Amino acid sequence: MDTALDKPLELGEPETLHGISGSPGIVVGKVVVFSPLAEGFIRYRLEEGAASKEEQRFLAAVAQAEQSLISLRQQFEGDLADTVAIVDSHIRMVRDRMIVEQSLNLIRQKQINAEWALDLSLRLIKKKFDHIADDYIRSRFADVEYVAQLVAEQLTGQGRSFPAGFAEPVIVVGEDFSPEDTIRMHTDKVLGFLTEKGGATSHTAIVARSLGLPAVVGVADITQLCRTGDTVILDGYNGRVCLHPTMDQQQLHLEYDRQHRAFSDEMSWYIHLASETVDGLRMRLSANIEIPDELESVIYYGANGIGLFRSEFGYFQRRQLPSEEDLFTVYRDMVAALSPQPVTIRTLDVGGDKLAAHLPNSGLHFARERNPALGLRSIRFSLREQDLFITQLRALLRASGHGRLRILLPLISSLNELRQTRAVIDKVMEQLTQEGIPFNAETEIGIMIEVPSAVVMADTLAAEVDFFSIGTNDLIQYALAIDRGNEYVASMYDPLHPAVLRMISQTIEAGHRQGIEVSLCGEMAGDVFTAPVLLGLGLDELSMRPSAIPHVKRLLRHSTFGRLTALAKQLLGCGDSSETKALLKQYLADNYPDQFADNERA
Amino acid sequence: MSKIIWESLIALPRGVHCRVAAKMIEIVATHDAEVQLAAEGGTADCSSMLEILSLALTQGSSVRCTATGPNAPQVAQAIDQLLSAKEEL
Repeated sequence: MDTALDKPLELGEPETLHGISGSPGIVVGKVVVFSPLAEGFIRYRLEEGAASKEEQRFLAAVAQAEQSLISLRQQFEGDLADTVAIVDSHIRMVRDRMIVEQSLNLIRQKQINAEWALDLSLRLIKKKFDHIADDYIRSRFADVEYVAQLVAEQLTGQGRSFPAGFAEPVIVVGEDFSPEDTIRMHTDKVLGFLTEKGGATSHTAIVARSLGLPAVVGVADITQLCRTGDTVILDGYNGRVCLHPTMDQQQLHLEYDRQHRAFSDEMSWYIHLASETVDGLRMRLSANIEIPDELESVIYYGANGIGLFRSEFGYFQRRQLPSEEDLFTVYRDMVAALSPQPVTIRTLDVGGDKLAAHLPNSGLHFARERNPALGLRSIRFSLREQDLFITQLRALLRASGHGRLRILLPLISSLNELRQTRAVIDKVMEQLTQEGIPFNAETEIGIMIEVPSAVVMADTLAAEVDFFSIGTNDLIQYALAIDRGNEYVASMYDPLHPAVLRMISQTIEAGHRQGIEVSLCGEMAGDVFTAPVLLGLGLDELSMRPSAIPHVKRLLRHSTFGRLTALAKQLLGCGDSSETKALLKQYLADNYPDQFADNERA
Repeated sequence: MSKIIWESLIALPRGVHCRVAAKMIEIVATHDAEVQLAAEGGTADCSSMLEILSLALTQGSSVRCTATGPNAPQVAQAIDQLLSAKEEL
């Protein structure tokens, strides 16, 4: 049962794509892909005297677009208030004077055709909206764009064609779907939505939530990556998509969904309770996130801060590098929103197989990688491309005064590497001081413990940092020499290998001897099967995907620290993972019979 | 013909977004009056949703309103009530 409850994660890496959770739920189904509309239209200057005719043509298109919206609105039944409200605001916008009057003026004054004038109007509106600081209002520009698109389609005569109905239920894939699009496709045959664009407030997300259908939005290039007819698993809880899943994975996901629905009512109880054991030992349960939009769910699920913010998003979402100001704004907003709880931001973890063409010297670096996992990646990349690193450090330090920001350095493998990095940080601090820019000089700086050498040297490293964060995903891979992406050996990737448990335990001891906090942020932390072990090993913080927090908290609140430590001690004495698993299974069945009695794992 | 000038403080948690703007337009359209808005982000005619949105009226910001026409007092009251409400009605 636990497997289904909390393990939709063990999917073949190459097939799993990450996006943003737009609406909860899991479905498995075939996809229908709507390719983005071709851009581009004809621009031409008008013959003399033709302007008034062109104005009429434009007004007729506006009227037709308006009429199509109104008739959709009338067809629309059901109590989908949010969706209807969006259609209503589109009806208003299509006649808005910023679109209509402005375009008419442009047609007349510049003697240009209606399509061109409409496009210019849209650009002028965009300019105004771009200055808006409020994300929600700024993102409404998408509505303006949509409405203008409707008018443009009437002008050019190429309407957006959606099939009137699907023969079997499908998952629809596209750039973004407007409410009108979704009404046209007859949602009783739609299983879920998967889009390239958008965040939690995108159209698709709003519509999907009001329909109660799962959605994953913001998956880069998804319209290129899958083809109509492909089967995918759409995991709206975690914002993940699995292309070409195996039958086992499909079963697992559907079971997970069933469990999730049953548990979610009970889980919501735990969101507001303290994360502590029956005997009062507290542990921070915090969130792992990849994009700032997830902040909402961090707060919703009652996380005690952010234990791992993977800062790569800012570097991969656009084709150009983010500026110091871009990064600063994101970090500051996040830190301020969660203050006084800690926000741990990991510095750039790129390189190896994660390279984007616009990163400095990427072609050069990529060509040299024969073994990406062991190559120029992560902190090594940052130390080599120092300008990039310094920009990020400046943004981080500038944000440090707005709450409790912790800087986390990834892949540290030696004391020398740590000292080199600290020297760069010191240099940046000096720069900021000279420039008179405020920052918190006491900003906590910690390292990821994810390379075996760092575990062995943890006592030495602990003396020079403020905290440790154990990254089990990489640590297991490096310690057991297993590539999870390789199907022949993936089954040997084993978080409960006694060697892994001992490494975690050693790291905690070394950290605590130096009086620093030790947290853990791998997938293990959010798995209710492995979490009890971690709780018993004495970590100060477990960081996991936000939706797992209530589950782990429930477990924690039904445990006593004494029993958890006894379990951990027993497991550390095991010689093999078959023993650790058997012991753990027994422990869970004995202590949480309601949850684990029919446990089929291990 | 009367003219009323007042200032509203936006209390709505999500500020003036589409739905609120639509209500403002409706209020103006159903009364015999015209309303002009001025805020940090510029000026807007209260008949254009896009102009209203582009003022970016977020919670805590203030907007200077001018209502003209026979029904200006009623319009002024209705709009001020809408903008200074603590939650959306």
